[in-house]
Amino acid sequence: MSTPKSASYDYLIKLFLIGDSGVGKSCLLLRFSDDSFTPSFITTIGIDFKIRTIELDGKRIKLQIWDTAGQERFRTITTAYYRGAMGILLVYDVTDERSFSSKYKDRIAQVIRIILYWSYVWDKTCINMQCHTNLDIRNWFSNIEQHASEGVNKILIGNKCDMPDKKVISKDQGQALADEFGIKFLETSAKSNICVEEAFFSLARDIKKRMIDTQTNQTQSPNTLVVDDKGGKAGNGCCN
Amino acid sequence: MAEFDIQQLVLVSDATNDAENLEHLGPTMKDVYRNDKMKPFLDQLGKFIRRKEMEIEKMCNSNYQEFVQSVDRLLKVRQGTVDLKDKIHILNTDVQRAGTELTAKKRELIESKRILENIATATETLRTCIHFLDLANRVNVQVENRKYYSALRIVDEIQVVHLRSVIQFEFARHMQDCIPILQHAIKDAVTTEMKEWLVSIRASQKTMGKIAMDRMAARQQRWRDRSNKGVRLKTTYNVNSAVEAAINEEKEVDILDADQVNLDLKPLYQCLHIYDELGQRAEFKASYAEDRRAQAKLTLSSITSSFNLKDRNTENFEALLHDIVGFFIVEHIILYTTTNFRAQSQLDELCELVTNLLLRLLSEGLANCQDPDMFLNVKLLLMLYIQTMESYNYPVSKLNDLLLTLFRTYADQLETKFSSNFHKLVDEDDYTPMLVENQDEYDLLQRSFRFKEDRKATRQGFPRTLPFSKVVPYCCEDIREFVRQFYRFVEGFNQEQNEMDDLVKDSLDTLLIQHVHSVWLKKLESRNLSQISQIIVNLEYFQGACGDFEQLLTEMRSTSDGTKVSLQASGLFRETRKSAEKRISELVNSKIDDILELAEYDWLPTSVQDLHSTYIQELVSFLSVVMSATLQSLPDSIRTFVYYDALEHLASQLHGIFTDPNVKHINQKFVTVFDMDVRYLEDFVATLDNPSVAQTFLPLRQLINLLVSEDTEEYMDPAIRSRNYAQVKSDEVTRMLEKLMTAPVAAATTQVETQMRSWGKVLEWGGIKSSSS
Repeated sequence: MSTPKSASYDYLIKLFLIGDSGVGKSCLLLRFSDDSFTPSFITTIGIDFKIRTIELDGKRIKLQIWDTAGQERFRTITTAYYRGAMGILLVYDVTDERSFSSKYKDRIAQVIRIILYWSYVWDKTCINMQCHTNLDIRNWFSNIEQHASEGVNKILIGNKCDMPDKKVISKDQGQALADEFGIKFLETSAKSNICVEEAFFSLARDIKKRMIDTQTNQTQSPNTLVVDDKGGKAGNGCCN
Repeated sequence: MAEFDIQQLVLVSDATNDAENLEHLGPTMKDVYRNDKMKPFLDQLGKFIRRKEMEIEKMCNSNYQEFVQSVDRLLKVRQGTVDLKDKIHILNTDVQRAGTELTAKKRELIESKRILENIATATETLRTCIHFLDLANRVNVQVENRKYYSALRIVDEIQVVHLRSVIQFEFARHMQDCIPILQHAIKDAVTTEMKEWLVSIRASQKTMGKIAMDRMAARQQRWRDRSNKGVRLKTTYNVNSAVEAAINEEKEVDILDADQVNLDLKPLYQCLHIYDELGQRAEFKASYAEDRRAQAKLTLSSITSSFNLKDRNTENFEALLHDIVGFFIVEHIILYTTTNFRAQSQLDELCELVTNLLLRLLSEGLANCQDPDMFLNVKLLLMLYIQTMESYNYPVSKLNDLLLTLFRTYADQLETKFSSNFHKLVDEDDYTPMLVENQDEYDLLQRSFRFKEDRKATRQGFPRTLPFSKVVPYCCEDIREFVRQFYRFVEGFNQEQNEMDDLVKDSLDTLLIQHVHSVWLKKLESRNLSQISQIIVNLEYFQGACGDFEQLLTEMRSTSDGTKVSLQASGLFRETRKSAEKRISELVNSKIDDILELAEYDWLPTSVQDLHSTYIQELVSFLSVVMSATLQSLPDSIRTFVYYDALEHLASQLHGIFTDPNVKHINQKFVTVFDMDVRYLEDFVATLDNPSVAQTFLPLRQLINLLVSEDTEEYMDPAIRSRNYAQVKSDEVTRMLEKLMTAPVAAATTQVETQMRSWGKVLEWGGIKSSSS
């Protein structure tokens, strides 16, 4: 059997961060991957990813976490990534009402999306249009329903919980919404490193439970198999 | 004989007179005596007497009547005489009495007269004394009325004229003793008044100083206006230079005539006059000098306690300078309106003293000052002060030195201030293209630094994004401000301009290098691609702006010697841009590596899918997003470079995976899978339509082609080899063929066997070739 090029992990899990621009997705990721924090606001343009290998139940799991641009103008790019994701972290900012719910903006957002679409068609450099339309969590959730694979694991994250005096979305509100969606909920702070590990670990654990632990009974075709199971592969391989 | 003698005697006696008789008597008697005829003579004589008596009797008998009558009458006369005598006696008594009275009266009179005389004398003396005392009193009155000279004159008069006339008096002698005391008192009084005056002029001296400095400010302004018209004037001359003084058309009225100034030098002149009169000028000179020195010290020390430059308040300092200027203007006026009283050297010495105190004050006051604005204010004030003092011929070189010191500190402070500004700007920048809402904002930006946009961008109208992020125009604006503030401080310096020009250049360089460049350099360590690409764009614009700054510095240069200023930072920005480009490539490449790590090839697959690997698709979409979105703001040239580098890297990495020496065996199916992946990449590269990246996968492609070729042997044909497999290394071919040949085969078909054979030939040929070479 051929030696795997890298024996550094047992499973690969792809995660996906979504949420409005400025809620702290990149910061959460930076905290999780590099254990660092940068106070200055740097917009993610396009898409980025980080890789970190964690250990769960004695298995080394490689997490490839895709960080998306929250800005509306990158939505066409980011939407393409929904499908490959096995877990989605849906992030909002506990200090920003609009990142949580913005009912009055629904219509406007829709109109702007249409305009954006046409301007994109008109001129591919629509990037010059700086549009900070925020979707609320429900919209993001319906985006997931629409574009992501079925049964994808999700978690609702209320970030920036280190600023209690600026907090406008209570933990209960977040929990209530998560309950409504039937997903997990955590409040985190990338800045103070609160619950960041837990969020990613919890999601990874759920995915592992859903896909790998149940996989022993099922065989999946390699191409639809999003979890790269080394153990399974090793069984398939040939001897030297 | 006897008879004769008597006769003779009688004759003689009857003769004319008795005297003759007596004269004859003597000799007669003598003869008588001698002749001893005494008896006869005495008888003769008796006979003569009786005859005579007989004659008398006869006569009397004949005349008794008459006699009686006579006696009667005589008696009567006698009675009358007695009466008269009584009367005379009474009268005498009366007269006696009256005389005594008279004498008493007369005596009284004399006494009275003497008293009268005494009184007159006394009156006269008293009058003199009174006049004298009056005079003496007037001295005090005059002193009280501040007519010191007149008082002094009176004292003199008393001493010279009046005192002599009353010197016999005790009080006058006392008075004489008092004359020096009086003079002293006058001197004291006049000195006191002068000192009061000295104290009192402080108020007007402040006003005067203010006016003088205001005038100097106006003069500076006029000069500035004029200098701006003629460049040559500005560069060479300054306020107070001969040229400026000649051109300065403003005929300034005497500072003492200014309405607000209420300075009367009379007390001083008066004092001087009095001392002169007393011949004590030297004493006054000394005491005045002492007083002024003390006053100068006091002026400074009084403010020291309340002098605090830290609270950004220069009012106190300004007031102090006004005070000092006023003080020295007064001194200047006194110097030129008196003779042999004040010497220029004294004034200079005093000025030196004050300057030293001022220096100490400033160095203490500014010791912990971190505020360049404060320094600028102090400098402007000090400059004004120096020029005002200079216009009154005071030595200012020390202060000029201080200005230089201040300047250096200011430069440091300014640098510190701006460096923190810059640091903040650079640090807090969001590294996204800047959004401009409207034309006004745009114009404002263009003013801070000139940037060019292509026509397509300008057609977009507003709001639109500019390529650079906020930090660029903000920093440029700050740098302009920095240079402006710098030269505001420089203005008025007439020495070492070159040094300052260099200083500002170096400072700016330091700012740019340490607080913009180095921060970005640090940021370049970040793994955020968009941030780095923005830094590259910023660097490009900043580099352009550096040219502007160089031009600005050249324009601002005080010496227009035509040398072009060049900033070190400019080159550094260029270099950093290069390294940033490399960094981007590095990052993209590391991302590629990350994704490649997920590539898990089965070296000996049993089946082949019709599709390329997932990771390759992921890679391609990631790359295209990075190129089209993340690095969108980068100039095409850089993007092409990054692309090229990324694809080059990808190609070599893939090549590495493909020819991994740790992998001992591969089969044909693996080559097919790999071929599909590479083809997918090649298709992607083709869509890029970029000739510079088109050939990236050629070596790999040729190797794969050779391995999948049905006729591997053609490799041995030099013509075909050089045409189709020029990029393939022979030892690689050998290794790959060996891997293929040693791979376990499930079922050996004829096709496989033919292929194995041709591989073997090539291997053999390769072995010969390599050993022969």
